Amino acid sequence: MKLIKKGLLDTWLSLPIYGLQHEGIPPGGAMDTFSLQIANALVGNDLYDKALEMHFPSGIYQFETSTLLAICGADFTACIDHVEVPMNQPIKVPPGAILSCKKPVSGQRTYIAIRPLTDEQVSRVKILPWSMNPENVFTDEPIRILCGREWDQIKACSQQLFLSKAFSISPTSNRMGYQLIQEPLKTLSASTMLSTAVTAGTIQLLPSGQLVVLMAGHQTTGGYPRFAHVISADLPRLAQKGPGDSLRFTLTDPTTAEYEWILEQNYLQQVRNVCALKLSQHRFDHH
Amino acid sequence: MNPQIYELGDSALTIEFGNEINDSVHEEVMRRFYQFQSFPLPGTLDLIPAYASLTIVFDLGVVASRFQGLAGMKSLIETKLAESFSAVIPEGRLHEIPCLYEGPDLVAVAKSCGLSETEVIQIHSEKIYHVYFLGFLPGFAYMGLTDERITVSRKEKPMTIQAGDIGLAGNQTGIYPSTSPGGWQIIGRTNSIPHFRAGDRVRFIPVTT
Repeated sequence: MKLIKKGLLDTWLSLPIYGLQHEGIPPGGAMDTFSLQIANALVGNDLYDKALEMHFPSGIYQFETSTLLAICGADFTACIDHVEVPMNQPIKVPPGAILSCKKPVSGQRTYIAIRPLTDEQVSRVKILPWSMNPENVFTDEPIRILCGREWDQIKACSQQLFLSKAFSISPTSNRMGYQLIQEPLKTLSASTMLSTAVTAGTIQLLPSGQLVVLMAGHQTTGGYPRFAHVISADLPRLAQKGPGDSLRFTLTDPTTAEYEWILEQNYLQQVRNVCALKLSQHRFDHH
Repeated sequence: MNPQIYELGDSALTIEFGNEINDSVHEEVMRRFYQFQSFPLPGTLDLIPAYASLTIVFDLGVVASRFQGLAGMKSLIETKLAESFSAVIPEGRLHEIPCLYEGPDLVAVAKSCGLSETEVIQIHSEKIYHVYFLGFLPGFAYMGLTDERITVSRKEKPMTIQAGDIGLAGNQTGIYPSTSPGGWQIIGRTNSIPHFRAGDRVRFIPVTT
């Protein structure tokens, strides 16, 4: 794949890589791990393969060999050779094909998974006849949270406010964290805490009463009170929200968080199985 | 104090051994770090030591489907903590780091502490520091504790700090491993940044150009 024009923030990313946080090295990885996995599944890649995470304006790329690709996540009106192509569907492109995105329609980050076709010469763009529609995941339902260790440092009225009001995401937000635009929350005590580990989804309470939701590019440790935590299953949905979008939060419990995660993982496993089967049937028919 | 275990979101547990920066508490953090590193709990993805806590990050799929979730892991940790773990903790290495005490904030630090620059340098370089943990940036070691006489607050506004800069914040000292915005008061710099591990010790050796 050849770069024709650089995008705002195009990065090859995989699922987060754990095991080095004691060295201060965060797991990182894609923001929307759900879309990443669907894209990889559609082209028959491995679970831990990288895909291209793109923000708008995204880059323009040219394929040098026959390639199977899939576009998932944000809808940026992706085009191959200036013709719009569907999302969440495997597409074969010939050598020389150019990938570009016209305009952002929904979401913040799009994922392009690719797989070079070594045993096949593709002569024209071919959209394969199956797709995965993940609409049930990217709903506008409130983001579910669990109480953090320092939840009780907030006055009850501020807790209620947090759970009843809509927030918008500040333009200063990035892959490290989302700053929420809201009235400062009222704290009970200004107790200091020692720096300790944080995770993606941790909602930190800054001394000013403002809130920051840590995202995929978070640091390993932090010294701000941990007000709440976004459940893992809702992080991909949050990752597709961006500056100006409005958010609501709702309390849930650890059992629901675990159940929702298992549900999501099972769904992804089914998608991988179905895609692998479809691809092998397609290959069989083709030859 | 008995360790307290609490959930950090849906897929991590933090074991809190105390609420102050203290060498004996930190020794316990490191003992348990090595315990859970040598005999990992099922589904462990990361072990993150800090001043007085150890956080274990789990693969939620593994602990939720096979070990009654975090609640199950919590009781498993309680059992493991009740067992004494007597294995030898690797002794931290002593890093001697040449330091050119010519940082942009040296004068301001001396002034705010009511000391001369030479005194700040002497006080900073005569103590052996303990590496509590790594965080903030890859390879950034939180070291302490500095002498009370050179305790300074962080800057109001973060500045760009260069790789190799040595700074002070509160009763801590540290070296920036890469260029980054930061609020620490920079008193010196080095061209020798070792690969730190929690539990290491550090001494700064004053050098001149």
